[in-house]
Amino acid sequence: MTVTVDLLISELAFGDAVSNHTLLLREILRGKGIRTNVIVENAQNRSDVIVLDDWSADCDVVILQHHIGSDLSDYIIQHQIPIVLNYHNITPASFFSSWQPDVAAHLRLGYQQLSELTPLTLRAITDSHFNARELTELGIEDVAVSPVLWTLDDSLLDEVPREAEQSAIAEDGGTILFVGRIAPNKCHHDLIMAFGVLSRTRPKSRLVLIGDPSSDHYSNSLKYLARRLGVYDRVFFAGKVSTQDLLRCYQMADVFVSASEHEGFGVPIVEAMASGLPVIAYNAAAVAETVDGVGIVLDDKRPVTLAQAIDRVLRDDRIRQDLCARGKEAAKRYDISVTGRQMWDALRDLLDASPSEVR
Amino acid sequence: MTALKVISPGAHGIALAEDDIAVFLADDVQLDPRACEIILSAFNQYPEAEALYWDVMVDGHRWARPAWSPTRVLSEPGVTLPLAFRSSWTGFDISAAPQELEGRLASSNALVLHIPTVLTRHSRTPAEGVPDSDDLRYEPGPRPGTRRLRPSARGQSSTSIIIPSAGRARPGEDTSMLSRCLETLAQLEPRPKEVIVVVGDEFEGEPPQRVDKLPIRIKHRGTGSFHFSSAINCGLSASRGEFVLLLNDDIEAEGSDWLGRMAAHLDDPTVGAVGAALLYSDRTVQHAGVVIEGAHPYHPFWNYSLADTAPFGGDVARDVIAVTGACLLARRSDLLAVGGMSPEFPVSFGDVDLCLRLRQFGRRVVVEPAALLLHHESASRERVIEPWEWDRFHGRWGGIEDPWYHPAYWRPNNPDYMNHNADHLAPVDAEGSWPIRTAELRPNPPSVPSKMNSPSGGDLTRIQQEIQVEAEIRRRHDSEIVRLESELITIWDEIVPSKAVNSDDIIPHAESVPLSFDANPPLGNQPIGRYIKRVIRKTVRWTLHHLVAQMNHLSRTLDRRLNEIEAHAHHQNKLLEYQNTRIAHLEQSLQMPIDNHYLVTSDFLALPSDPSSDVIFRIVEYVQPGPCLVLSGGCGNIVKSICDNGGAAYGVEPDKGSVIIAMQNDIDIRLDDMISHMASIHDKEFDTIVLANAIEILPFGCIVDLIVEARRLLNGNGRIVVAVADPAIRNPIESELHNGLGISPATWQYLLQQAGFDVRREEVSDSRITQLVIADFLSDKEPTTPTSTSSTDPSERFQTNLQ
Repeated sequence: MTVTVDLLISELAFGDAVSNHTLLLREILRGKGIRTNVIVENAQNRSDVIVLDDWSADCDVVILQHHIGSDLSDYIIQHQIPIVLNYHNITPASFFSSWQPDVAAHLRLGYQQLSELTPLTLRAITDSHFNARELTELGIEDVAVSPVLWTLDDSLLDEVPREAEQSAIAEDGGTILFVGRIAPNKCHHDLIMAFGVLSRTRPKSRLVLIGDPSSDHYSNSLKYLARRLGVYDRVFFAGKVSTQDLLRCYQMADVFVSASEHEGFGVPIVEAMASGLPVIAYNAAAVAETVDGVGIVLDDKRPVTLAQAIDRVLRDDRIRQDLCARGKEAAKRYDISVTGRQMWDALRDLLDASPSEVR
Repeated sequence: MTALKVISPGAHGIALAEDDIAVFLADDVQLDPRACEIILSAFNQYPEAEALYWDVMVDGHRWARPAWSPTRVLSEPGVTLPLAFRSSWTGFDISAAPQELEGRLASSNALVLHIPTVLTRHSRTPAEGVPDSDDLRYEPGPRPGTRRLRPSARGQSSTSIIIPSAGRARPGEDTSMLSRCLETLAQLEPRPKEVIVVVGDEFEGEPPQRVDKLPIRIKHRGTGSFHFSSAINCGLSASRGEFVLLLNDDIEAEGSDWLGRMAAHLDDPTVGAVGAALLYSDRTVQHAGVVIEGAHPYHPFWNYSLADTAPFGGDVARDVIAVTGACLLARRSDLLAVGGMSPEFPVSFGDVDLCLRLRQFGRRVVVEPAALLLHHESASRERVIEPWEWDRFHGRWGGIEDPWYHPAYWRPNNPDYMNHNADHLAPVDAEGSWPIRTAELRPNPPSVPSKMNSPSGGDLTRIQQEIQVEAEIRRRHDSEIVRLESELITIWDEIVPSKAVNSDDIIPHAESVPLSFDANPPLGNQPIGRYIKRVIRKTVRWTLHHLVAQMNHLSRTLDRRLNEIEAHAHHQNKLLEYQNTRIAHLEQSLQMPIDNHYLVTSDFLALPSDPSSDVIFRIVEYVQPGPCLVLSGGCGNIVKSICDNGGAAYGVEPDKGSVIIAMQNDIDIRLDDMISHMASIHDKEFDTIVLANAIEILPFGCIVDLIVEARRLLNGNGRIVVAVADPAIRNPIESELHNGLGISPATWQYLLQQAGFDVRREEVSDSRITQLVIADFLSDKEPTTPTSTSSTDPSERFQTNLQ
């Protein structure tokens, strides 16, 4: 009798790291001959998933993706179903309390559910040691670290990939990129303020912000900020873009800058590294762990410091080449062939065990 | 031929050859038979070594000696005797006392070897007591035969003390550990240069006030979770002293000169870091230097009393491989040069890593037990070392050896012993012998498996530090940048909504909302009362009337918006249908289902593409020399051609896919809504406005707005060039998609004429765009209609004209 696995995720969304992770995990498990289904709260026109209302919980292993409060987690808690907890960290609610109290409430719920899920957890798998520490503090003993599954399909690109020897950047220009949902915890405002400083010496530079606005409130405030600073013309709020356009942006940009104060892992950072883009990141949460000695990590992100760092990287070809080469090398650690095996190793014994033992 | 010459102290008339080795030995010392051979071969193996010493047996007990430590030798003279010297060493003098030669060795930079083998047996200690020294830098030490450096008042007063703190108190106490620590620091005499308290959001209670003239500065390290390393780096960048003391807030200092005692060691340029002796409140040792064994750092002498450590030299200043960051003094310049503390080790091992990097940098690390402080370590945090921290430490420093940790000592090889056992400091092997050890500073790291330790890894840390220092310098020297920075932060603070809305507060309580309004105020029936009533009634009536008018206007506006949205929705639905057909076709041809999760609509949009090069060529002909705006910019081909021909143009494009392509080719296309972009520009900015690409699919109302705005933006001799396809000649897909959108060149001509332009049409040879519309602004001629009607809405105005 084959083992069956159900992957539970509250919502599948395009371009969302956890969604992609879940779908890749499904591919991996199916590749191993394990019957795997994805369970969601709302199918949203997808035919390949099962809706929570139709779910019977009649499987051998349940893997729950947890990063925000959800009805799915509630269901698990109510029915006391033992799970493998795939934890992607929960953004502290305080970031949202003044912008989107509703999201803050959801995040608080996520924390509350996390502690209620703890006794049901057979094993926790999480993206970073930063997250693992949090789970250990909650009292989960069996914690495995396996980075979020992620893949960059550069076959979509017809351009030649970025090489270490690249041309110098104009003294007054440069393209700065950040990819991430437009949300207060990602601190786009710090980037825009730094850009305001940078613009004084680099009037032709551009800031490209890719990502879905999680709230109009924050996103409009950013646009207003950019207007107040007189840089609106050169800040590109690109919103959500297709995979191909995303890859183009990684190719086109000169430096990737993250001022984010909370990342459970930071997939875009790895994507940037894989594309040979130099990375500058503020040292918060799991960021230093992900950047891991291949990018500039700053302890201070006041506008002048951040602008100084960007300027330094744009100015110094040697650093850019160095970071480009290191980034590409480091990103190999997060290649799906590696992380897929880590994930499989983390799950293997649970799946090899006979179904009765697991349940 | 090198020969070993044994010399009795005080012997005269002994002639030494250039390459002889001299050993001073008292007469009653037994020399091991192998000694001569071992000593000569050691000198052969290390041609650059000037002297060496070995383990001795005194009264049947092995003296397991540490590797060469200039600081230990200077504080406990004679500790390495007997020594064998190369007679060619420049400091060698056959008539000098052995202890004096030892002192000269310690003050020079000579390489001295240690052979961990018992080569001589003595009946009494080899050292003969401290020679009378007129060296004023020293004072008597804790026991006979030892001495210690006098405190350096200058060093103490040029030190910045950095204390990261969360402002917590020990369990059961009211006063925070930080305040206690600061109180004890206030006893320092002279005062340190400054005390920088690094705080974060988690800081509890009131920030510390000025304590007894102690110059305290509070440094906010920004938000984010607490990292000891980054907090220290933050304080480091703010510090101004020549020396920097890293200090935990759970430490209570004793006395007024401990800092000066530590600082005195930094007079020696080869010393890079100085640690102190940290005691628990029961006066047992918490820290008196670190040893590394099997790549695990340990605190030796843990739980011993300091006096008990004397046999191991634990009570005198000496070289060690590392000291704790709970109390570490270093030069600010050295710390900056090695890049401060590594963010790779946010909590544990950051200090050991720092010391090892200072050693790589060519600096010695010493501990001064005369600087005594109380450390309530367990009070500040549970010391749990994560497995990844071990992994990272081993990855970086796996091959490191601690030369001061004698191989004869017990090897626990178990990280659990960290901090918990000092018994292994007794030599367990009385007779064993091991390879030669040197305390050479390693210019390069040991074998490093992880790439983050490659030389350029150090570079990266240095660059990170440099950036922060550069930024600090910029702030210090450019007052305008400081002003700009604070202005930026103020602007953002103004934008941020007021803090923490509690979700319970969002819905107002029903009771607090006024439910009714008394329309008949109780003013009585007097004439004055009636008059006031009439005034009130009139005012209310007028207000209501006005309100209704406003509401009607609003509802009309909303109606119009709604129509637009419906049109848009219709358009989107058509797109969706079209997309689904495309997907179905694709699925059919690929014979597999397509996961629409991965599809994004813009890939499937039939958006108008940039005109052909022939048309662009014609457009460029009509562009006037001054500034030019291209709406919409598309992928930038038009802008590029204009710029290539010496013009100054940029484009605005609402489709981000096109903008990304343009950015890739470094063409100035800005992502924005066209109308609102135009609204943000001053009057008469442009000589030419080119309308192309997405203009082709604008709804009529937008086109009218666009013309009004364009007219405003053009200067006296401005020109509009319209290059759009005629909706009449669309292919079936386009006409299905863009049904009802866009207008023909003839209509363009009519509209532009109505807006006061002199318009002509030019034929072009292209499959889609058949005509260009060229409209020259007649600045002297007022447009025919606008001001004559009372309506202010441009679209209504034009509609009136069209009827």
